[in-house]
Amino acid sequence: MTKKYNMRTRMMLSLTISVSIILLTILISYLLSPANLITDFTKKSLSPNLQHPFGTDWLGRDMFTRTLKGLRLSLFVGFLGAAVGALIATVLGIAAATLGKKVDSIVSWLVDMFIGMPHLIFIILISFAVGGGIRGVVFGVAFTHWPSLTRIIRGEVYAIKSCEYIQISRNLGKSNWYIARKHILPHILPQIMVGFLLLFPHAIIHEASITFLGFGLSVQTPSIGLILSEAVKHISIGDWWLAIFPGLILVCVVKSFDNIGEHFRVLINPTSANE
Amino acid sequence: MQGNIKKILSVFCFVIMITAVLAGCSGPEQAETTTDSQQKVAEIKDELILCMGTRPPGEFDPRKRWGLYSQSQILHDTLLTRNAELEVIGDFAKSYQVSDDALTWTFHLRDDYKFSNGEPVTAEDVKFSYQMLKEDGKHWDLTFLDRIEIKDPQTILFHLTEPRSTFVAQLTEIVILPKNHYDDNYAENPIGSGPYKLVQWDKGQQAIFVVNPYYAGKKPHFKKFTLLFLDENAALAAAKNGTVDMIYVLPEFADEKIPGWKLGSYESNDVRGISLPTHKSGYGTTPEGFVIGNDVTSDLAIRQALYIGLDRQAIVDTVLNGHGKKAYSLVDKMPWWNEETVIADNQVEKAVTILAEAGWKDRDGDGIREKNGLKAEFNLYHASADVIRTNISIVVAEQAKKLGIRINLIGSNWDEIKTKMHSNAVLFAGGRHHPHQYYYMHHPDLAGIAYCNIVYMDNPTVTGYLNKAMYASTQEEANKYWKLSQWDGKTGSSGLGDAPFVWLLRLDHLYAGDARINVGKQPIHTHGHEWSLLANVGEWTWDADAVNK
Repeated sequence: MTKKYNMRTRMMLSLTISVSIILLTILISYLLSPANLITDFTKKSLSPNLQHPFGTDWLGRDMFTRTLKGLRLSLFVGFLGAAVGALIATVLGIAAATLGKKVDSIVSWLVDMFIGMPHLIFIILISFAVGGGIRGVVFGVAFTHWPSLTRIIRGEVYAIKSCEYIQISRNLGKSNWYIARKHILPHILPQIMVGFLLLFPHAIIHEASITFLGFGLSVQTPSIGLILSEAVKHISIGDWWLAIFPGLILVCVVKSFDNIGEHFRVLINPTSANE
Repeated sequence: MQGNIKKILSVFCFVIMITAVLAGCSGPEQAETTTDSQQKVAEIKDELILCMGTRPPGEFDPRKRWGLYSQSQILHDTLLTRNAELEVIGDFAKSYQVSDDALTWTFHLRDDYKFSNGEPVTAEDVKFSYQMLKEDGKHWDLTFLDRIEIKDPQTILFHLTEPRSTFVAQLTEIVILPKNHYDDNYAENPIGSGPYKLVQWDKGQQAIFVVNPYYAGKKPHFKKFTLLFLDENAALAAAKNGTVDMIYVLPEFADEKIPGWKLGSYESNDVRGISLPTHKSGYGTTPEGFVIGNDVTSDLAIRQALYIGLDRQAIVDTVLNGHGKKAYSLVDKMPWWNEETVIADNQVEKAVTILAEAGWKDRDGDGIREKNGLKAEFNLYHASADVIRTNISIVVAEQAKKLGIRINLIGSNWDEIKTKMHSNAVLFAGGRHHPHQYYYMHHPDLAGIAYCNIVYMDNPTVTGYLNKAMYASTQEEANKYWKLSQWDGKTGSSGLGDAPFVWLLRLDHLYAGDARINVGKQPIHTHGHEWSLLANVGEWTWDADAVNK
């Protein structure tokens, strides 16, 4: 690689590309008319062409529109999942480290239990419990992605807790709540941000998996998992475009988020930011 | 960073490679299959491997609906049966008489039928089969059967509590079971007197049938046939590989060309439509405790608007690739069908007028009509494993939107749908060789029992006609009342009247198979695409000279 640009510049460039991929996806998905999703028997199973860059499906719906609108759902669910996950992780992580041994052991036990079981099984259980549909997917994804981040935050808080300024603050008679809010939270905020960003791709992939498996998501809802599971049913007649393009786009978006999260982690870490 | 680019590039190259390999494959593969089939031209084949769905419908036991989908004549015999022209002819009963009051049916039995274990079929077995299913009472309504009398070993009398013009339906469907060998595990080793016997059944994988050596009728040509339980995709792949001889195909796959094969298309009365609950919510619960009623579909205007407003031909073209016909009733093309129920559909303007006159108007401009604060919106349940039903639902929901009705699709399985079908619309199906299904899907006395009258249709005039048809002593008289019950000029069970169901289309049953398999004369098929063709598998032959055109 050329030495012309330093690491930071290249990183910024890659960040920009990733962010623009995601923004573009969202933007286009809003611009595309829902009329493209109307079935049309004159346009059944067309391979990719200028009018339909991703081809059409067996009912004559434009796959480009379906894919991007489906991705929007994935992004939405991913965002909710990551946000709720980060929130739970923050609360539990701080609670575990500051509220004493009992709370700590309960939280650690919960974390171990959730980590010990595959995500997908939990998502399936939760989404069944709340009655399936989009709600099921959102709840399922949201309540399963917090354990690893909880662990990290708990560790961070423990480290901060033993710092001198915390002891001083305590000696000055500040309450636990005050210390958590004023001294601990600002320090772990970067961890939460990074954790949130890195949860995102995870949540998106799980959203796709869970909708791939069905779980009461209406066939009217454009969803990337649904598209892929339908594509599987048409592989044997050679409609390759049904699977390849949506799959590629999904990979691109997920990779973009991963990229942003990774770079963000490097950039906000004082020891690596100046490399 | 650099690593990332490399990774992405390698993934991209991999995808391109796979695509290239796939594209390259199709050429030589085709050539290979052609030579393969040329070599086989001379031989007479007497074994078949077939793919007809993922499981045997009814699972060989009449208590699980075995016999309802034209499977009665594969492993078993029945008292009466139907030929390809749908005329009722004798089977185990050589002949039969019905008394003038239509309350006593006398059957003269044959004495040369044997079960696949060599034991003779007797009147006791007949009595047992009917009695057992009457007591079971789940899928076979035999409540009208008073008692069964065995006069002598060759004569059996059925005494009815009331006349029953559709009794013939059950007589052609209920299989004769061996009294001494029937128990809860019967499906594992079903003993019958039909042309074939089941020798192996690996659930979810395959079932192997061989000729029953004791079969009294004409010996089948094919000594053995194996059913592979594969889904439609795997079946198509197996067909292209040349590992199977015949498959049932979805309309989407009908245009696939396989060398040496031909597509068989058979007209059916296998209808698809939407059931629309006819009562408001709060109507009560079914005997099993499921809620009845729907505030939107209970409005006649909504049901009638859908009946005339939907574009049936567009659904046939979109979902079935044209392999189907428009349908207007549950009994299209049958002798008891009232042809007046055929209407011009896709009348969006007229449908909109009906809705507007009934007070359904879009006041808030969201494209969906309202009436007294109620949105014209309802759920439509469809079996998500069923591709055709799913696709029909998608198109119906789209078309309904044009009328200002929002249909929310809910894909589910039958275990759940059974609990919701009395209070929600369901993508429903039907079609039989007799009017009995029509009877129980519209008669209030049977409402809520299993799949009978799920819409809680209760129109006294229609019920009157249904009863008259049921009590009629001749088929002609019965047919007259069946037709009147659909539409008598004022009311009826069809879309012209109460429209409890909006029937949309009849499937053409499609099968692809080796061009040399001769499936004999097929009657118009009934509900049950996968197995309908198998109904007469005992009559199939191998036509060595037949070539694919």
